[in-house]
Amino acid sequence: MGSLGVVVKTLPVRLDAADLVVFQRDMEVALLSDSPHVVLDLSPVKYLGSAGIEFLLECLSRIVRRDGDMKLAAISPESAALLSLTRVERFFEIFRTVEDAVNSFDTFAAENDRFAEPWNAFRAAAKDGTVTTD
Amino acid sequence: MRLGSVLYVKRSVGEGLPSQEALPTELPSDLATALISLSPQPAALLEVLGEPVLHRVVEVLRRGQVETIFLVVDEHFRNHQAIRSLTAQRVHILSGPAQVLPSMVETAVKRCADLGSQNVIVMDTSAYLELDVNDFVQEHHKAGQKITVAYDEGGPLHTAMVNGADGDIAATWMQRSFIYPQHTARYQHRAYVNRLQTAQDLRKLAKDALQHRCRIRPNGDELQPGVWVANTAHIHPSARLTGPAYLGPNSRLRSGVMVADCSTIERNCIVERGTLVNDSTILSGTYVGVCLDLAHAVVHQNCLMDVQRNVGIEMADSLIGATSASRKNLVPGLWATVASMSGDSLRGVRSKFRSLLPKSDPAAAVVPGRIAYSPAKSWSSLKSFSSTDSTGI
Repeated sequence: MGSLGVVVKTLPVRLDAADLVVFQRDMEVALLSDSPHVVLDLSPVKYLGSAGIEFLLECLSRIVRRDGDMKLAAISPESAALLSLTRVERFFEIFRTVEDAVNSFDTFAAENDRFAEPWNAFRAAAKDGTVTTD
Repeated sequence: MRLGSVLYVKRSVGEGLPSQEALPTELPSDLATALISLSPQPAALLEVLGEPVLHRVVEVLRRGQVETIFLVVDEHFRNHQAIRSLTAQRVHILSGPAQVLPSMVETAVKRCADLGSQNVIVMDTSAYLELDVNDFVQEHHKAGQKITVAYDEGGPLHTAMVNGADGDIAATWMQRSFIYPQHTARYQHRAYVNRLQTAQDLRKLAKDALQHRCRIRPNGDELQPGVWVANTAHIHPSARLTGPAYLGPNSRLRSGVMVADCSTIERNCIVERGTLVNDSTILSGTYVGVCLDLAHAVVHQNCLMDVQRNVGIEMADSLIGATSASRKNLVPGLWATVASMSGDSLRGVRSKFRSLLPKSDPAAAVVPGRIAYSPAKSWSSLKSFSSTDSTGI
């Protein structure tokens, strides 16, 4: 568990249909909470099949519907290649380490210059005290 | 002067040779993208722009006026189509177990001599090199040694020239590639060479051929400058090829496929609707699924090698596989999930996705089901394309 109630879950080595059943039960608690903040640690993942990608999308979908957010961390080059192949990497925020992913929940996304307005406006407002972050 | 050649095809790098010392030292340090992981067959039997590498090597030798060619091949591959078709090109085939390949090479050299060849080029076909045969012959005669071995700046090239009577020398050289017998001369090879050890090497060979950096020419018709298509290939009217590119015999591009940036698709492949193929090689008999983004990769049936990330992946589901495999459902559940997430009932999810993307990214507006290109647009804007088919996704 990280700051701001961030839940960190480590995925199993293989993300195919059989191995996902157990992990899905483990995720249910996080998926049913209000505004869940979840970081999935993919560092052990050696095989990310289409069932695994589908699972990630479904988790993201359910978390966002509960006004939460889910981020991925420590993706192996094999998993990155598969996410790129299936064009779903654009749906996720991906960080190199779990710590970076957890810390990203403490700051606005506008820390990253890729993101345009209105995040920059929020950042500016937070700095001058017009808007509070909690 | 009459020339002969003995080519040999062995099962994989290092196998079939009796001596441990015979293991080549140029194995790639990272075997993740080694070609032996991509395909169990030797690199010489893989097709590049419609012809096996082995046929390309024979072409090089014929251009150099080599009259007699023997092919010594591991019996495991004797019935491979690329081997059988060489008999029509007057290539003599000898096959046997891997352990006896060296003695078969010796026999083949002697048979070349019996047929009138004074000098014989012995060549391991695991690499592709455009040998300057005349120059090689002259250097061999100038050196006056029993065997002349070809080198380049990367090291020995597993290619040597012997006199017709010295088949035993050739067999010894083949068995102990890095411990040469006495009376060995060196020949500095300066022309094109590709060692074909990794997926990156294979990708480079395809690109070099399309960009005329070597003498390989595509097997097909040039429909537009730089776009080569075999006459039995099928292209859906909405598919696009941007040169340089190659599409092989009996291959099919389904609706909305985009192929660009020196991509090559060999024979008997299927590329499903909406897929982008960018700077990639799809080897024979490969199926590539719906709405994928294949970039900087070499694919052979269910094995994908990302040459940029330097990783190899074996696919266990229907995203990529063999064209011969049956597919009851061409649309994996993955795309059904993506499609359902883009429906109106999940507006919050969609806006979340959009907010993650920089405004300049054209993909920010893409949802499956609508075409987003016109033929006049450039490749970079066409990357936002998605499948035209509204059914099945």
